[in-house]
Amino acid sequence: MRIDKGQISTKKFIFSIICYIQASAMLTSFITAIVYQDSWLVILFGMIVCVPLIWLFNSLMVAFPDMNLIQILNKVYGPVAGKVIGAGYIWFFLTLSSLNLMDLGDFTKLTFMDEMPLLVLALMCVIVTSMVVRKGIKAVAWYSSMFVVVAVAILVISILLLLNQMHYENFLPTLHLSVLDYVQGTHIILTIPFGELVAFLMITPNVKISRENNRKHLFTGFIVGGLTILFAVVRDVAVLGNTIDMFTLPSLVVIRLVRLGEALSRMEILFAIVLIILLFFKIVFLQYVTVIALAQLFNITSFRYLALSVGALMVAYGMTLYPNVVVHAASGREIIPFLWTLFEILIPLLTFIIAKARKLPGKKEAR
Amino acid sequence: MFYVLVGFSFIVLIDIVPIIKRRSWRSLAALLLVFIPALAFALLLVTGVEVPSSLKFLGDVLKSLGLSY
Repeated sequence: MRIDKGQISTKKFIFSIICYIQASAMLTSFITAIVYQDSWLVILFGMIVCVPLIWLFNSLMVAFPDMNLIQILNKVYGPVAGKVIGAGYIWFFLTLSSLNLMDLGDFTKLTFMDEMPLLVLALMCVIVTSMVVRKGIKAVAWYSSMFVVVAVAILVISILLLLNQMHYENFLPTLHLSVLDYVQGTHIILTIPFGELVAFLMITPNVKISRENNRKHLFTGFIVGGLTILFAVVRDVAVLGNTIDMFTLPSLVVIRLVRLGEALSRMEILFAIVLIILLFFKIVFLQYVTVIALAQLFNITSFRYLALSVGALMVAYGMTLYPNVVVHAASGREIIPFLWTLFEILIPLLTFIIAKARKLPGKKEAR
Repeated sequence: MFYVLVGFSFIVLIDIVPIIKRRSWRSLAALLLVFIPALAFALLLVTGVEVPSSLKFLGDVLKSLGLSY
């Protein structure tokens, strides 16, 4: 049973992936505080290590083209265990939505509205996201291409305008930290922006995609999204060097340094607007995925009625997660990579192995 | 407290009443599964009760297992 009958094109699918990864640009501070000027190397390692993971997600999408993740779990583990694991994924998607919502609120407070209560900002955002989610996947993915174009344009312009402030020496010394630091950085980048692509397994039935061409779309989105994060970090390191760990938002600080006369200064406002737009997209997508997962678990098609309540829970639950940004960042560096590994790597891998062993899906079910 | 109750009353009017009218009990169960915790969390927050963080709890569990950096 397909919950949302709407379908998106492969182009929108790719742009949604890029947009989703780019929205994590704010979280690069999780790694810059550990590997300093080698952050770009860690992102590169993370992208390479992530290739088998993307292959795994792709294989599940190709094997079960008409099923979302919750349906796959039901099929592979049976109705009881499948529903228990499915409930775990609902918690995972809800927590991701809430964390991103709180990030958006904190960032908006930091850049635009420092006296506005976080609760009000989160509520305003959730009212709009709920309206989008009620319209279905088409509305969710509609503006992804525009968001990506704007974000890439700002990135390219900022790199060009900062060329005179970039110094090759800022990348040195390279590979001078302990191996554990690089492992930790790679683990963070693998689980926090890239591994979160597991959410896209929830929209497999809504993508107009052929079985043969499926592989390249997820990879294209992942590579383009990953490269934009990589270029943003290379730009930040080239300008800030090993002082990059001093800032919670290095990109904002770097773009603030653009100064070409009086006309072209204070450009960080553009970056702030783009980041808010990207985070908004990610929240909408994650809220949609949470709603669909919940509807799938209860086997209902009227998912629209769940959007507002899930939104309300995202706000109320999000307010309880972390008392402040510092605790959030510490948890993101030390604990979250291990916790997310379960949902992003271990369960999908186990599901794939069991599906292969049980020869699932059967020939009749395969498209 | 007043604003929280007004906000949740809107959700009842917009989403719960139509579901009850359609007698879609499965949909109602799914909705209440998120509506009740949302209302409970919101009421606890506005009354100043400190709600324990689920991520902090899971973090402590993982730390006790040696799974942290």
